[in-house]
Amino acid sequence: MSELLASALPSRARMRRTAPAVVSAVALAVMITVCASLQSDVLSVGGLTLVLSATVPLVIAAQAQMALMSVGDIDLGIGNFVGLVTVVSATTLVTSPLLGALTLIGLVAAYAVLGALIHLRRVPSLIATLGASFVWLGLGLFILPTPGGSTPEWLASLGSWQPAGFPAPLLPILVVALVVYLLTSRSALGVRMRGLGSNPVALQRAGLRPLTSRVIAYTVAGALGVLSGLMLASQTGGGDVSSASSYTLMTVAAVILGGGSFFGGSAVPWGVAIGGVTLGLVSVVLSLLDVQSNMQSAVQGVIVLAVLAGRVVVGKVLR
Amino acid sequence: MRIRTSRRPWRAASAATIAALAVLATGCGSGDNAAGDKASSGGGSGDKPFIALSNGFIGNGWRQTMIAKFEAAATQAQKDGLISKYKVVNAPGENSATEQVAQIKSLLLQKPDALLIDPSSPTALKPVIQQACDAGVKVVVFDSAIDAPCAHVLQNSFVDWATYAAKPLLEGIGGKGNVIVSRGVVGSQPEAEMFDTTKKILGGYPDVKTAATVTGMCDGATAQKAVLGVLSSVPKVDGVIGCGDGYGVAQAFATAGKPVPAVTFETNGRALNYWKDNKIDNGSVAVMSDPGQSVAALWEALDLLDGKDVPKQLTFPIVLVEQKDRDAWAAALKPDEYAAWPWTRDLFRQQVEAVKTGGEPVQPPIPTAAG
Repeated sequence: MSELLASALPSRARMRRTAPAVVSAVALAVMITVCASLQSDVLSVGGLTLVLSATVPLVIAAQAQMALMSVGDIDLGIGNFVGLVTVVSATTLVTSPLLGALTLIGLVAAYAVLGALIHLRRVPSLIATLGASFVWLGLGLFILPTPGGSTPEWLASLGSWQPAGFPAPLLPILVVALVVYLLTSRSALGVRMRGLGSNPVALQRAGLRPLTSRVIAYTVAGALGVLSGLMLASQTGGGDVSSASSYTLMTVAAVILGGGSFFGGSAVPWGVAIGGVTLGLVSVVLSLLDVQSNMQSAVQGVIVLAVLAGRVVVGKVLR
Repeated sequence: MRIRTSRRPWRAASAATIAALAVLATGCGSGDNAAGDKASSGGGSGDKPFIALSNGFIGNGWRQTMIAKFEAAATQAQKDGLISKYKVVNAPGENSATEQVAQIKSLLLQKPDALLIDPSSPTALKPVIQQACDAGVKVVVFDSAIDAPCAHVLQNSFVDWATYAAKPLLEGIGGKGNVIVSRGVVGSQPEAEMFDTTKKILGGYPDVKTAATVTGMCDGATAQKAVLGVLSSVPKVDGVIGCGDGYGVAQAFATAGKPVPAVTFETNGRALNYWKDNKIDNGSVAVMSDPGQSVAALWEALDLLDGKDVPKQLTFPIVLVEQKDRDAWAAALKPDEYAAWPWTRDLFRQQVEAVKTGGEPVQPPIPTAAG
């Protein structure tokens, strides 16, 4: 009995963490059901590939956002960062692969430096990442002023890869979520990141440097941002620095839908994957439902608000 | 008690997640027969075609007119039994290529027979267009060129646009005097083409001096600010060569208390009526690309589905409103409606013939009533 109690107490906290993701999962299931009832082909391999492929870069970018939100920061530059990566992969990565790869690694390093700066100079992450977003935008415009270029052969073939019997986009979504899960929830590094978000003083008392934790979180975010940009470039077949500007706020919404918190301390990679796919599917549902084109943006916003409201209600009930 | 309340939702949570996964899993399972469906419906030529239109941006009057014209023509075609149904989707947001890619993908799910695209980006839609072609969908891209070998492109000539914006105006001011050149969206490929043409034409008028070059972005409000900024530093201006931003430019001159020179107006009702009511009879013209291209693209798609031979690249005439036609157009247009050629299937085919033989472009009649 005592063992049951002991296991039940943390599970309540755990449940409170997972409940929002469950709300999103229910919303996702409802949307897929609606899609399937309108167009049964949505449930075929080809249909799922079409529906899910557009959400892949968003989901990966949302994992990057989650890495930062787990330490209590918010990244307002991720959209332009992803756009910059598409530009690099459409230009330098094609002409000289080595230089391109180095540039991408340099971009990850830039994120690490940004994290260190934020920590050492005590700049609010909102301001620093907002500033960085203009740097990404400027660099992208400098490299490629007008959208264009072409992606490397291997990246293009990755984008058009269609295995039989399995919707290809599901693979990156699940693999990235698994890796992020292992990193943030099953490793010492993850504990340090979440510790920084929930209780930095305790982290310091435990003899761990908060600076390292923050730099790790930013490095993870940078690496995921690069991955997201590569996936986006594989789908659009070119570079456009402003192609992902909507991601900045969409990723925040995806993290919140998935059970993350603005105050840090929680890492919910599976929830974020569900939240991101849910957000991506909204426009598919609306298109299938024949919602009047001028109304689509508004209806999209209302659906997101409804799911968020569901999350808040569930959170209240569980408190 | 505490244990029970905590455990139940957790179980519900796992159940819901499993349900979601199950839905996905059944999807994987049913792949084979769905593929079969696709093949049969693609091959079935007995039923009427389903036409889909994807538009990258809906936030300006030109695009609104373009969609309205298409919807009117498609509804009529549906009544006439030419098509089974049609569907229009506009990508939300500010001309975002990623949004449009996602929307085209969800459109492809509904298996249209033909897909018309007004693209938000000259490159980013390439892979998804290839995907559509591979699925056996006829793709017609209009309004802007795109680098996708399998798509048919229908567009207006930007060289014609720049020529019609400059030539009648320069003739109107008597081939001499000072002009301001208002450039469009600097950095875009069509603008580069238009600016080159403008420079070439100006080279043919040695008595015309370019007093200033501003960036008007083909937008009345932006052009108004840009022109106002240089007005005090230039001598008497006889004309402003722009790309459909004349209403704003005229306002700038009126604000500065100067007489309105010859300008290139927008082709919408508001600008044409302003032009008419203020009796600006000095060689001004109105010229813009044709929102009726969406309708022409519809006819092209139908001809392609019928297996007719249509060239991959079609150039359609631009809308030029000269002073003699101004009042007719002004009477036919609502303030925010842009002048569009009323393409019918016959007119479309005549124009295709003209393109094939290199003959004179077809001149469709000016519509008489609004709508």
